[in-house]
Amino acid sequence: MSEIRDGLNYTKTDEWVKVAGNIATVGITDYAQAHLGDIVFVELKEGGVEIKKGDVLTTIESVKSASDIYSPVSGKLIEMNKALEANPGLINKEPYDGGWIAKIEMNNLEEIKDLMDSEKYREYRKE
Amino acid sequence: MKYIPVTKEQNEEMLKKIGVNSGDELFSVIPDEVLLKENLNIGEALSEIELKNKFKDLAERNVPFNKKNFFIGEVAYNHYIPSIVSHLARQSQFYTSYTPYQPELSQGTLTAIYEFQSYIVNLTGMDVSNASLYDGATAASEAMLMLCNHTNKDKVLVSSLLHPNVLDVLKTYASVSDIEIIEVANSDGSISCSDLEEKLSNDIACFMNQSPNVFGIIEDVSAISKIVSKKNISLVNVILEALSLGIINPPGGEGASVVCGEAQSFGNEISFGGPGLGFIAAKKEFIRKLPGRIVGKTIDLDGKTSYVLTLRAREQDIRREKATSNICTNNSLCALKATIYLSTLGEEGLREVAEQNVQKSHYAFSELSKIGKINIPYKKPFFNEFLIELPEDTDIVREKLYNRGIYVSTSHLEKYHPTLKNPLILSFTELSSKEEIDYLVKTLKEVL
Amino acid sequence: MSVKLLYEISVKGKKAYSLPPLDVPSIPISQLLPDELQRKKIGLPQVSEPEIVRHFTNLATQNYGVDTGFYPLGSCTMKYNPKINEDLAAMEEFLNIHPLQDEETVQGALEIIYNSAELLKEITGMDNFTLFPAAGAHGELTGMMITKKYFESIGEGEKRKKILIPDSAHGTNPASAATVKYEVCTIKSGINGEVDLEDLRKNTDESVAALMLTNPNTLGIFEHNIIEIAKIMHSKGSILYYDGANLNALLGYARPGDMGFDIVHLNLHKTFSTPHGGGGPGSAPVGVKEYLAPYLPVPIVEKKNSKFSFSYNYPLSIGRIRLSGPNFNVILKTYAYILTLGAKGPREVSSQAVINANYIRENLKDYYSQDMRSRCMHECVLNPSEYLKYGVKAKDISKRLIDYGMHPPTNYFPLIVPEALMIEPTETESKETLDEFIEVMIKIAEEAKENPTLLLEAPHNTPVRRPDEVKAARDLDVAYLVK
Repeated sequence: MSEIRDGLNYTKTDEWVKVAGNIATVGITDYAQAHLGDIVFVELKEGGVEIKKGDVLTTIESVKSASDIYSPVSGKLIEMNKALEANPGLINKEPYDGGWIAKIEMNNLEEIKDLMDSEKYREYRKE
Repeated sequence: MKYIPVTKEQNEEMLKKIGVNSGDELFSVIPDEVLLKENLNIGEALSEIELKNKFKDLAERNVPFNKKNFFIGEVAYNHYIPSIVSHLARQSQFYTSYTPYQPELSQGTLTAIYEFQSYIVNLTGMDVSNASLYDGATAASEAMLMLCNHTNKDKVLVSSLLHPNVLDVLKTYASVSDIEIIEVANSDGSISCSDLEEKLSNDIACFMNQSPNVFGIIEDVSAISKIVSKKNISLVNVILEALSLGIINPPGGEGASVVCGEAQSFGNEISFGGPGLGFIAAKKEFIRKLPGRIVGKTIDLDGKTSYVLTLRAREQDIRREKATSNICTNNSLCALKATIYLSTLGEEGLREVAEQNVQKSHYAFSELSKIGKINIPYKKPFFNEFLIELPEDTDIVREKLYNRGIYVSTSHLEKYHPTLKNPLILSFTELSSKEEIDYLVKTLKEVL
Repeated sequence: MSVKLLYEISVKGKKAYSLPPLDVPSIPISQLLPDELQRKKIGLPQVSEPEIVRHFTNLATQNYGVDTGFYPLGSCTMKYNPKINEDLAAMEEFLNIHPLQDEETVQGALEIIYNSAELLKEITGMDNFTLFPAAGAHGELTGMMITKKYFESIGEGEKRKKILIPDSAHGTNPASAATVKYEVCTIKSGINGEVDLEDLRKNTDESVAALMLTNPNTLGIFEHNIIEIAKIMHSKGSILYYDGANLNALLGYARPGDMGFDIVHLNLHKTFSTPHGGGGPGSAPVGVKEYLAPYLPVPIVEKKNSKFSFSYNYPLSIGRIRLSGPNFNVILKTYAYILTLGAKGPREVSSQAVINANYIRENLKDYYSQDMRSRCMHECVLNPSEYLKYGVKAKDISKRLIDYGMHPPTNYFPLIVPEALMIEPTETESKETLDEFIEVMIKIAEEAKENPTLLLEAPHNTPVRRPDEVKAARDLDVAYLVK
C-alpha cells in the first residue's frame, strides 16, 4: 500500500503539491516512485523560468522508463532540488520530504481548487 | 527444406497435440481473399552447389579493387585489414547473437562495445560515445537532430565542403523535420571564416564542419571553434576518413562539442558501401541526448565488473514518440571489427599507418604537380586525398585511365562546386605502392 | 571469469601489426603536416597478437548466439543463419568493390540488388522497392518520409498531421512518426488483442496521414479485419503502413500488398536469415505501391537491355538516405537465402514457424496464462502473473531459463501485457528442442511455487549475474579514458 499524505494536494498524474502562502512545493507520490522503479536521473532546470499549469517541469528517468512531470500550477520556477543531482534515489526513499522536486511562486491561487485533496487521491488510486 | 530440422512424422505428432489436421489449418484466420492459392513465382530452390555457381557467375561481373591501381576514396577507404579481424569477428557467438538485452548472456558483445566506445572517445577527444550508428551521413543527420532538439532551434549552418552525399542526406532529414540548412561558403579549399562569422546568429543550433573536407583538406578546427563559441554555438565535426584521427589533432581538443562520421576505415571492408559504421561522440553535457545504444560499466550481484546497456530511458522502446531518436540498433558486428582493428594497430600502429597515408599521398601530390596539364588548385594541408583539375572532361579521362587498368572516382563534384573545372579527387592509402603511383603519373602524362 | 579490457593489459612496446617499409621517399612529417595539426598521442592500448586473439576468443565464449542454443525472442525471428551465405558474402568480388567505381565494373553487385528487389516484390505483393534503409527503424523513417512527401505533393501536407499507431506497437513506430513531426495518436486494442475497429473508425479522418500496423501484431495475433481496416484508411485517403517484423508468419500464405498495405518495410535480419551480429548490421528494404514509387529514396537500381545502373531520375524522391551504398553485404545473404527457398520454401518456413509456436503454446497452457484464443501465429505470449504471489516476475522466469542453457524470450513487450514472455521459436528449431524447452518451462513453474529463491537469484552459472543497471545509469562509466 503506497503512502498518501494528508495536508497535501494531488494531481491525476501523481504529483503532490504543498502550498505555503503563494509558494508551491511539488514532488511525485509514493505510488509514482514505486511505479517508476529506481530513479537514476532528474533533469534540473535553473530557476527564473515562467511555468504554466500542465507544462512539463522535468523528466524523471528510471532504468526502465522515463516520465514527464507536469506542473500542477502556473507561476515562476524558484528552484529545483539540487540534492537530486547527486542523489536521484531520494525521490524513491523520501518522495514527500527530501525528494521534493521543485518550488514554484504561484501567480494564480485559484488553481489549487482544481487539485484533489488526500481523500480524493486515495479514492483515485484505489488499486 | 534445408534448415527445418523437423520430420514429417514429427510434425504429425505436433499437429495432433495442437488439435489440427494440417499446418494449413493454422492459417484459417487469414481471409480467403488474401490467402495465396499458388506458390510464389521465385524459381526452383537451389542447392549449395548451384548457389555457388550462380554467385561465381555474378562475381565475375565485378572488378574488385584489390587488383591494383585503385585511387578512390571520399566515402569509403581502402585500408589493410589485419587477418585476425575476420577470424575473431567470425566467431559465431558474436555474429549469431542478438542485441545484448540479457547481459548475463552477452558480456562478449558488451565488453567489446565498451572498448569501441573507449577507442572512439580517446580518438576524438570527446567524453562519451555511443555504440555506433548506420553510417557517416546518417550519423551527421542524427547529430543535426540532436543539436536542434537540445537548443530548441531549427536552423543549422553547414560547411559547403561537406561531401555532397552527406549534405544530401542532411537535406533529406532536414526537410521532414522543419529544419533549415544554410551553407557556409568556402574559399581556397577550406571554410571561409568570414562567411561563417557573418552567418552566425542566435537562432542557429550548430555549425556542421567536415575535416578532412570533401577536397581532402584539413580544416582549421581550432579557429572555427573560436568563432562559433563566441556566439555560444556548438561545433559538430564530421569525419568520413576516420583514419585521419591517427595523426591529426582530435577535434575535441580543438573545441568541437560533437564529433561524428564514418569509421569504415577501421577494419571494415568497403563492400560496395554497406554496411557502414557510423559513430557519434560528444562532450559530457550531451550524454543523455545521444541517440542509439550506450554500454556502461557496472558491477553484478557478486561484485564482479560487468557491462550493460545503459541510459535506455532515452531509447525508442521506452520513450516512444519522445525518444531522442528512433534508432533501434547499432552496427554491432562492424563496431566489433573496428575494435579488433584498433586493438591490433594500437597506439603506435595507427600512427604509423596514418603516416604512411600522408607520405604516399604527398608523394603523389608532388609528382602530379609536375604535370603541366594538371592543375592542383589547393595547396593547404591534407591527409590522404586531394583535388586535381583536368584539361578535359573528367569522364573522358576516367575512361582513358580505365582502359589502362586504373580506377578513379565517378563523382561529379562540379555539380556542387561549379567553379571547378573537370575535377577529380584522388585518394591514396598505405596500400598504394610507389609503383602504382608512378604508373598513374606516367599514364596521365600519356593520355592527357 | 571476468575478461580484462585490453587497456588493462596494455604494456608499452608490445606490438600486433606489421607494415612494409615506406617505398616512397620519406619526407619529415612536419614538412608535410604542420606540427600544430598533429596530435601528440592517441590513447589506444599496446598489446600483442596472441593476447588480442585470447581476449576476443574469451569474450566470444561469454556470448550466447543462435548457434549456441534456443533463442526464442518474440518479434526477433532468431532463425538459423546459413553458413553458405557467409561464404558467398566473403568473396573478394563482393567485399572489395567501391560505391564510386564505374558501374560497368560492378554489374554483378547491381544485379544482386536488382534481383533481390524483384524477389521481394513477388514475396510481398508490392510494386517497387528501395534496398537502401539500413535497419528496421531506418526503414520506418523512410516510410514516414515517403508518406509526408506524397501528401505534400498532392497538396494535402498541411491537413495530414496524424499517424495512428496501435497501443501494442513497437516503440520505433511512434518514434519514427515523431521524427518527421507527425502527431502520434494511439488506437486501442480490443480484448481479443486486435485493433479495435470502432476506435479506429472514430479516429480516422482526413487529418490522418497513415496507420502503422504490424500483422500478425506484436501479440502474435493476425489482424483478421485487415481488409476492413484497409478500407477504412483508404476511404479517407490515408496510407496503410506495414511493419514487416512478423513476416515470418505469412511467407507464402499471404502478402501485405494483397491486404491493402501501401508501404511495407522488411527486416532482412529477421525473416530473411541474415545474422543479427550482436545488434547489427541489419537491412530494411521498403516496398511501395506504384503510386508512391516517385517518392522512393535515390538511387534506385534499374535495368535496361540487361545493363544495370543506379538511377537518380526521381524528381519527387525524398532524397538520399545513406552515405553511399545500401547494406550490400546483408542484401547478398538475403538473395542467396531466397534462392535456396525456391517456390515451395516460403510456405514451409511459415508453416513450421506457426506449428512450432502453437506446439509450445498448447503444451504450456496448464502452466502459464495465455489469451483466450485457440491459436497463435508464429509467436505466443505467456502471461505468468499467477506467479506474482510467490514474488516471481516474468524477469525471474527469464533469468532461471538461463540456468537451463536457454536464452530467455522477450520480456515486457508488448507493453499492453504487464508481465509478458513473448516466445518465437522460428522454423529452424527441432521438436527435440521444443520438447526440452517445454519441459524446462514446466519445471520452472514448479520451482516458482516451491522454491522461488532459485528464480530470484538466477542465473547461477553465468560469467556475471544480474548486473546492477541502476548503478550503471547513476554512476555513468561509458568509456575508459587514457590520461
